[in-house]
Amino acid sequence: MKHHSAQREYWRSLEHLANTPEIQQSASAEFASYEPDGMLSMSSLTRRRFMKLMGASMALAGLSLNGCRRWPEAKLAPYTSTPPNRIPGIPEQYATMMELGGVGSPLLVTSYDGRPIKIEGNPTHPFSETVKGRSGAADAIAQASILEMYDPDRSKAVINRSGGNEIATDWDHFTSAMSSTIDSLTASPGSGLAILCEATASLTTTRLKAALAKRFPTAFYEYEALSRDNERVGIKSALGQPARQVLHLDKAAVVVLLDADPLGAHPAHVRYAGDWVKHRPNKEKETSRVYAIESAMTISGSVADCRMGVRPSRVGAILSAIAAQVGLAAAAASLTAEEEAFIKPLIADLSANSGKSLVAVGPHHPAEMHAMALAINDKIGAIGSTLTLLEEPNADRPHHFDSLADLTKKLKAKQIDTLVILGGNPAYDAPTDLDFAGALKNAKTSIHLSLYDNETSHACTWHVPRAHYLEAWGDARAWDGTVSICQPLIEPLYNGKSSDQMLAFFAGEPETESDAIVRKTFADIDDLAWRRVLNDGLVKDSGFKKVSATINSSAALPAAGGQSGYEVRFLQDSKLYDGRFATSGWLQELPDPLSKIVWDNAVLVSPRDAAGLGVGVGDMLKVTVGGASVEMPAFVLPGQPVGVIGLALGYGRTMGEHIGSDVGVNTYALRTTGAMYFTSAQVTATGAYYDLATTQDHHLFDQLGIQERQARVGEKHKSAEIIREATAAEYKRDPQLFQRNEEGGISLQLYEPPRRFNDPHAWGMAIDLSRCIGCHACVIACQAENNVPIVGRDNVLKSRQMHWIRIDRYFKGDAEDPNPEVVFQPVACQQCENAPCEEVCPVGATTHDTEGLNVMVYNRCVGTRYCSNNCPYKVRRFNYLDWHSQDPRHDKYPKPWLGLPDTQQIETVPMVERMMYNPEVTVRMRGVMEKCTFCIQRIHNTTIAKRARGEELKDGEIMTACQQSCPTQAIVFGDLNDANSKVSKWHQDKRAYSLLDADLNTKPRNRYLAKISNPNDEANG
Amino acid sequence: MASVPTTEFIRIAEQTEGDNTTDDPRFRAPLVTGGKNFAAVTETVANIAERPAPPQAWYVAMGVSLALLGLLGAMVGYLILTGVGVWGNNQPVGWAFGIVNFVFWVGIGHAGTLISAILYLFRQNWRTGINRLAEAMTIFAVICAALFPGIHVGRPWLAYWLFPIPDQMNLWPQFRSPLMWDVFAVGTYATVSLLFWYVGMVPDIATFRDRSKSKIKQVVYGIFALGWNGSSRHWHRYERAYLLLAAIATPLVLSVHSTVSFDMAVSQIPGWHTTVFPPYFVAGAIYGGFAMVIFLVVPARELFGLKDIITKRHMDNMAKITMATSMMVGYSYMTEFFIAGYSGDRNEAFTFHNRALGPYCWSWCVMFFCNVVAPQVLWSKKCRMNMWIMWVVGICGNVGMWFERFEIIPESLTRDFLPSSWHAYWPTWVDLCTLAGSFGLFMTLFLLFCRYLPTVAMAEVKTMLPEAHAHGAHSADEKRTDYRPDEHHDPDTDAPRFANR
Amino acid sequence: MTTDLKETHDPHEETNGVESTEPMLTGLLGEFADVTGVVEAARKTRSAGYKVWDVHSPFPIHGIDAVIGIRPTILPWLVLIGGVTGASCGFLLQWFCNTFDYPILVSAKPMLSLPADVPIIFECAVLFSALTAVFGMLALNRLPLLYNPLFKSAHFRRVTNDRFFIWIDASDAKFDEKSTAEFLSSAGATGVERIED
Repeated sequence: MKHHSAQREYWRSLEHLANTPEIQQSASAEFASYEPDGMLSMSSLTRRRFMKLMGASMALAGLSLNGCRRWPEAKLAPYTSTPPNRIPGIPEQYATMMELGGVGSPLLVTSYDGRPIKIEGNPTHPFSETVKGRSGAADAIAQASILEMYDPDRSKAVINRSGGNEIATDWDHFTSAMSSTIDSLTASPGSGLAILCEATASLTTTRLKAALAKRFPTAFYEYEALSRDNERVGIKSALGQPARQVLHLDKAAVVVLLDADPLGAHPAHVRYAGDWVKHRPNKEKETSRVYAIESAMTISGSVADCRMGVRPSRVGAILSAIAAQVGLAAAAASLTAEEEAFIKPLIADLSANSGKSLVAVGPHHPAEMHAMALAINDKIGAIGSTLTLLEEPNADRPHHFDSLADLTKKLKAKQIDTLVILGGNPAYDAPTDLDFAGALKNAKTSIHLSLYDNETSHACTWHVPRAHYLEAWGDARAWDGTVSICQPLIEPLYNGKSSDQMLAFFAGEPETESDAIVRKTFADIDDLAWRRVLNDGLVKDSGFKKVSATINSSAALPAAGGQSGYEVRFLQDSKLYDGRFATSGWLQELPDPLSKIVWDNAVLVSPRDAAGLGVGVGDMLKVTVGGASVEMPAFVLPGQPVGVIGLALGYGRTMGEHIGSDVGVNTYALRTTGAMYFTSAQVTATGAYYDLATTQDHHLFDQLGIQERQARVGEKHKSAEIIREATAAEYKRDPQLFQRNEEGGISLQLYEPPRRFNDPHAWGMAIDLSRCIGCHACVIACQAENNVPIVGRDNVLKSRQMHWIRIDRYFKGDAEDPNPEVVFQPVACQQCENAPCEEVCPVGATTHDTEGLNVMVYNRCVGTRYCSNNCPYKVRRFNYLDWHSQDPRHDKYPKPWLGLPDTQQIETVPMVERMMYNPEVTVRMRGVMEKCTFCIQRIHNTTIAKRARGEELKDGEIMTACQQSCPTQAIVFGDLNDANSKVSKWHQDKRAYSLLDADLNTKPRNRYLAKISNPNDEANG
Repeated sequence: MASVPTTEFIRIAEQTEGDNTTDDPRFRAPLVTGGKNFAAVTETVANIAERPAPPQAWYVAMGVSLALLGLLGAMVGYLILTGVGVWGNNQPVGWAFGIVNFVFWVGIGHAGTLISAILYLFRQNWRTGINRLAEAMTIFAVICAALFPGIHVGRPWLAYWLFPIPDQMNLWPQFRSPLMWDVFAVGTYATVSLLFWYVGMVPDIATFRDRSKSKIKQVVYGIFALGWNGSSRHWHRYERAYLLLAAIATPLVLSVHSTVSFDMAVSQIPGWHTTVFPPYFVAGAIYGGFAMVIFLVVPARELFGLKDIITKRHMDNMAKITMATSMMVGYSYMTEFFIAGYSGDRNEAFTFHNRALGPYCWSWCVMFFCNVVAPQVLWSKKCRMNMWIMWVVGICGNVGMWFERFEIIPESLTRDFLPSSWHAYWPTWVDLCTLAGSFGLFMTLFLLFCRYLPTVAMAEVKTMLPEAHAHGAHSADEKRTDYRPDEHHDPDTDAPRFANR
Repeated sequence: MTTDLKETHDPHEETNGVESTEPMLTGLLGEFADVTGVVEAARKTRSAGYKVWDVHSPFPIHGIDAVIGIRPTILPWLVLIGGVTGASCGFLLQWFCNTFDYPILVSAKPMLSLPADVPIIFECAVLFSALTAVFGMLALNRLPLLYNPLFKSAHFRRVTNDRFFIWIDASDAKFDEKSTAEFLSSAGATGVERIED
C-alpha cells in the first residue's frame, strides 16, 4: 500500500510542477513552433532546438518522463483514433512486429502515455508465446530496438550529397527533386529504376513493387549480409520446388545439428527454443538428445548433449557419411577416428528414433548440403513429423549474394542511373571484392533510406531518414508466414519515412501516409476485423501453405578440399547481428553468451591453437585472407574447434554514430563473394596487446585461479557446490541424488526470525539450469524494465557493469578438452531471507519486506558498498559514477559536476533518452547501490489492482521481466504461499537446490533446479 | 641536597659510560640525562616554541607537507564532485584504498593512547618522555582516519545519516551494522584521546603562559591554560582524573581496533570472516603505532634537541615493544593460515592460498617482510642504539601495516564465493594521490604541534627527576624511576603517589 | 590513604567572588627553592594551625596531600555514575531507534538483538565516563578561572617552572600580616610577598 500512496503523491507534485508559468510558456511555445518541416533542416543548431522542444514537452509533464503525452497529440496514437478508455498514466500494450532478415518477430510493446518503453514477445502469437496467452518471449535484439528508436544520433534530415558537399534539406525538396527524375523515367524508361532492399516478406512492399514495376521498368535487388538463401536454394533443388522448413524440436527425441543453431541464430529461434525445451527433462517426455557437429561455439552447441567441434570443411564429409549410413546413395566420405566414434552412436540413435529425429544444417553451408540434409530427413521420417515444409515467399528471386553481385556489375557497367536503396548498409557489409561503394558512384542518382546517416548514405547522392518500425505502419510475416501488422507506437521522432512510403512515392501511389498505404494492402479486411488484427497482432490463418513433394535424393556434395592451416568462420554476431545494431549501447554492452566480450569482437581461437600461436586473451593476431588482413585481439574460447578461428561480423563501423563507430574490427574486410562464410587464412601473432573487456573471467587468470574455479564448478556432467547436475540416466536411476547433497535438515538458525516473510504473499523464484540456453534475452528485458544504465568499455574493464541479472557461463572439463561442457547459470539477487547485505547497512537502506523481498531503498542509500562486499553472490550493482549522464564511449575520467549533487541525474540526461525510462522505476543517481528487486513495480501494480477489485491473485499473473522474456521459461516466479503455484512446485522439485545456502545459511528465495543433460557416453568418448 | 642526585647521576655515569639503557639492578638509570634540573627541563622544552625561528629542516618538511595537503584537497574535491568512480573500486571490490587508509590511520592512532594509558597503569615511567608526542600523533592520525569513511561513501553529502540524529525520513541508523559500531568507537576514541592529550597539556601550557613575553601569547596560552596555578588541591584532583582517564582509555584502546576489525570479522567473506581479528588487529595497531612514533621521534629529538629527555633508553624500550608486537602480528598471520587450512572450508583455504601465491603475492611478501622479518634486527642492541636503523624499521612498520590492510580488505574481495564475479583490483592515480595527501595532512598538523605546543610533558618529566622528591620518610621509595621486580614494598607508600598512579 | 585528617579549607573558595575596587590584602605568598623545603614548611604551616592555605608547585609533589591533609576527591564516584549513565544511554538509544520507534526487518534478526548492541553500549560508557572525569575534575577545581590575584606576582610565574610556594590566605582566622610573614620566612621561605587585590 505504501508504494501506492507514494505514487499518488508523485502525481500531485507533477501537476504542481506542470503549472508553473515558465513551463506553461515553454509548452505554448512548443506547440506554436511544432511543424514537422521546421525540424527537417538538419544542423547541430536545430538538433539542439529539437531537444528544446522535447525538453518543453518533458517539463510539461514534470519529470515523470511521461512528457510526450501531449506532444504527439497531433496525429500520433497507436490506433488510428484515440481509444475512448485511455487513462493517462496507465500503460497500454500494442501488438506489432519487427522484421529482421525478411522474417518478422511478433512483439507486444508497452506504451506509457504514448511513449513506448518496453518490448516483449506477443503472447498470442505462436512464434513468441511461451506460456499460452500470458507470456511472450522476444530476443535481446528485438527488445533492445526500443533504444534504437529513441537514439538521438538517428538522422533527422534529408541530406543531398549530389553536389559533392552535404546539404541538409527536407522531404519536400527531395520529392520535388525526384519528380523530375520520375518524369524522365516515365518519358524514356531506358534502364529504368533500380531498387535494392533488405530481405522482406511484407505484402505491402510486394504490392508496391508491382505497382512500381507497372509504372516504369524497375529492377529489384535484395541483399542480406547474413542470408539464409543457401538453405532456400538447396531445398528447392532437392524438392524441385521452393519451400521453407519449419522444425518441430518439441517432437524430436534426437536432433543432429551440423553447424545449425536453431536456438541461437535462426529467425525463429525464440519459437525453436521454446519447442526444444518441451523435450528436455520434464514429467511428460524423455529428455531429448542433441548432437552438435559444429565449426564454431554456438548456443545450440553449448546446450547440446553431445558436441564435436570440427573444421567447416569437414561438416560436408560428416553429413554425407551420415547420409550413407542412413542408407542414402551418397559417397561415403572418409572420416577421422574421432568423427567415426562420434557419429556411430549418432546413427544408432537416429535409426532407433526414426520419425522422432531430425537433422539440420547451418545456413552458411552450400545448397547441396541442405538438399542432402533434406534427403536424410526424408529417409529418417522427419518430414511431416519433426519437420514441415511450407511454401516460400517470392520464391523466384535470385540468391541474395548473386543479386548484389549482379547489381554491382550493372552499376560498374553504368547501366543504372537511379538506384534507390531501402535500408541496409551494403557499402559496409557487401563482400569486399565487389567494391560496392565504388560501384555506387557510377549511378547518377542514388538514394539511401536509412535510420542513420551511415556508410552507404555517405556513398549515395541522397540520404533520407527512415522511420523506425515503431514509428510507421507496415506488415511482415513470421517464419511460418503468419502475417502481422507493424503498428507504430509513436509518431516519427525524427520525421523519417518508411520504406513503403518511399516505394509508394516512386510508384506514384495516392497514399502518402504509412497507415493508408498498409490499410490499402489489406483492403479486403473490414474495419472491425482490422481492429481485431491490430489487437491480436496477426492475421489468422495467413501462414504459408504446406507443400508436399517427393525428395529426389541425388544430391552430390561439392568436393570439400581437406583443409590444413587455419580456417576462418565468419559468425553472425550474437548482439549486433550483421552490424546494423552497432549503434545500440544496450547491445554493445550485452555480454556475448559464450565469450562474455562486450564492446568488441575478437579472434576466437581454441586453447590448443592459442598455445600453438603462443598467445593468450588480448594478444593481437594478424589474420590474412588473400590480400586483405585485419589485426584483432585473440580470445581463447574453450570448445572452439582446433584449426578454426571465429570472426564475428558487424564491428568496426566507421559511421556507426557515437556509440557504434570504431568498436571492434571490421571483419567484412576479409569477406569475399567466393568465401562468404568460410575460407582459409594465415594467422600470426603481432606481439601487441589489447585489453578485451569481458564481464566474466576478466583479468582472472593465473593458474591458481583457474584450478580453483574448475574445482568449484566441478567436472564434466558432475555435481559441485555451485553447479549441481547429473545425466538423465543417473537421475532416472536415483531421483534423490540432489537432495542428498543438501546439508540434511540441520537448522543453522540461532533464533526465530521475527517474521516468516509470507504476509500476505511469499515471493519466490526458481531457475532451471536444464532450460537456460544463455541467450541473454532476460538481461536486456531487465535493463529495459528497470532503467539499468550502461557504463561503457572502460568501466566494464573495471568490472562495473550494471546488469541486475547476469548469466554465469562455466566451461566444465579440463583445459585440453576440445568439447567442454557449458553451463549457463542466471544469477540475480537471491532475495535471501537471512540477507547478509541487510545487517551490515548502517542506514537501513536495504531491508526486508513482509513478503520476503530484500528491498533496496535508493533514496536512503549513502553508498558505503558494505552490502555488496557482504553479498556472497555479488549481485549488487553500484553507481560509481553518474552512468546515465556520462559518455559510455570516452569517459575514462568524467567531468566533475558543479551543481547540487542531488540534481545531477535530471540535469544531464538527454530529454529524448528520458522518454524511454520506465516511470515505474526510480532512475538511480550516482553513489547509490542497486540490485534486482524481483520487479517490485510489477508485483505491486498487479497486487494493488487485484486488491482493488477484490480478486484473488492467480499464479503467473505477476511475471518478472526476465521470466517474461525467457524463450525456454527457465525462470519461474510466484507466490510460495500457494502450494500449487509453479514456483512452489519447482522449490519442492527433487532437483531444487539453493546456491551457497549449505555454506552460509542465507536461505535464498531463489532456488535452482539442477541441470540434467543427456550425453551419449560413447559419443563423448 | 641537590648534590645527592647529581653525585648519584655521576656514579651511574661512571658505571655505565653515560649510557642510561642499562638494566643492571644495582643502578637506577636516570630517565633524564645531561644533569638537567627543573629549570633546565622547562628550558629545553619551552625553547622549541620560544625560539624565534625553527630549524631549516622544519620549513622544508612543512613545505612538502603543505604541498601534499593541497593535493589531498584537490583529490577530495574531484572525488566529491565526480563520484567514487574516480577510485579504482569495482564490483567485487567495494572497499579498497579508502578503507585501507582508514584502518591504517586508526591503527597508527593506537600508540599514543597506549603509551599514555597502558604504560601509565604499568608504571612505565619512561613514557613521560614521549607520551605527549605520541598522543599528538594519535590525534592527528585519527583526524586522517576520520576523513576516509566520510569520502569513500557514494554520496558524501549524506554521510551524516550515519549519526543517530533524526532526519527528514524519520529513519534511524541501523545499529546492527559494524559501521555504526565504528562510528561510535572511532568517535569515542577521538574524543577521549583529545581530552587525554589536552588535560595532560594544561600545566605545560600554563608554563608557556607564564614564560611568554608577548601579550598575545599570554592571552592565547592563558585561555588554554584555564588559569592553572599549580595548587596542590588541583594537582590532587588532576592526578586522580588522569589516572581515571588512563583506566578508561586502556580498554578503549583495545576496543577500538577490535571494533574496526569487526567490519571484516562480522561479514562472511572468506579472509574477512576471521575470529582472530580483534586481538590480531590490536597487536598490529600497536606495532604500527610504535613504528610511527619511532619514525617521528628519531628526527624530532635530533631537530629540537630533546636527546636528554627522549633518551636512548626511551628508544630502546620502544624498540623492544615494537619487536614484541611485530612477533605477535607474525603469530597472527600464522594462525590465520593454520585455521584456514585446518577448517577444511574450501573457500577459506583458497583465500589464504591465493593470498600467499595468487596475483597479489607480491604485496603479501612486502607485508610479511616489513612486519615480521625486518623488526628482528632489533634483537641486537647495536641496531637499537643506531637511530638510522631504528628509523628504517619505523618506516618498514608503516609500509608493512599498510600492506597488511591492503591484503585483508581489497585482496580478499577480489576472489570470493562465485568464480564468475572474481575480478582484480588496481588503484587509480586518484587513489594514490589521496593516500599521499593524507600523509600531508598528518605531517602538517604534527609540525605545527612541534612548533607551538609543549612537545614533552614537562610537569611529568620533572617528577622523574631525583630532586622531585622530598627527603625523609619516603625517599627510599621515591627515587625509584624504573619498575624493579626485586623492589620491597615500602609500608609508608600508601599515601597517594602521583607520578606512578 | 590517610583520610583521618580533618579538613582544611581551600583558599580559592574564599577568595572567589571578592568584589572590591580599592586594593586590599588577599594573602601572603612564601617562595621556596626545592621540594624538601616546601614540604617541611607545609608541615610547619599545618601544625601552626593555619586552615586557609595551599601549596603551589610546578608538578604534583609526592606526599603533599598527607601533609596538607587534602581529602580524597569524590571524582571516582562521579565517573562511575557517568559510566553507568553512558551504558544505559547507549542501550536505550539502540533500543529506541531499532526496536521501538522505527523497527525494520533486517537479515531475519530479532528486533532487539543484544549482542549487536554491546559494542555501542561499551563505547558510550567509555565516552560518558571520560567526559565526566575531565569536566568533573575541572568543576571540582573551579576551573577555568582565568583571573587570579596570584598571577599579579612576578615571582609566582615560576610556579609552573621550578619554584614552590605556600599561600596563606588573609581570610584565615590565624592570619596576621606581620606574624604570618615572619612565620613563613622562619619556615624557610626564600621570599615572602603580599598579594593585593
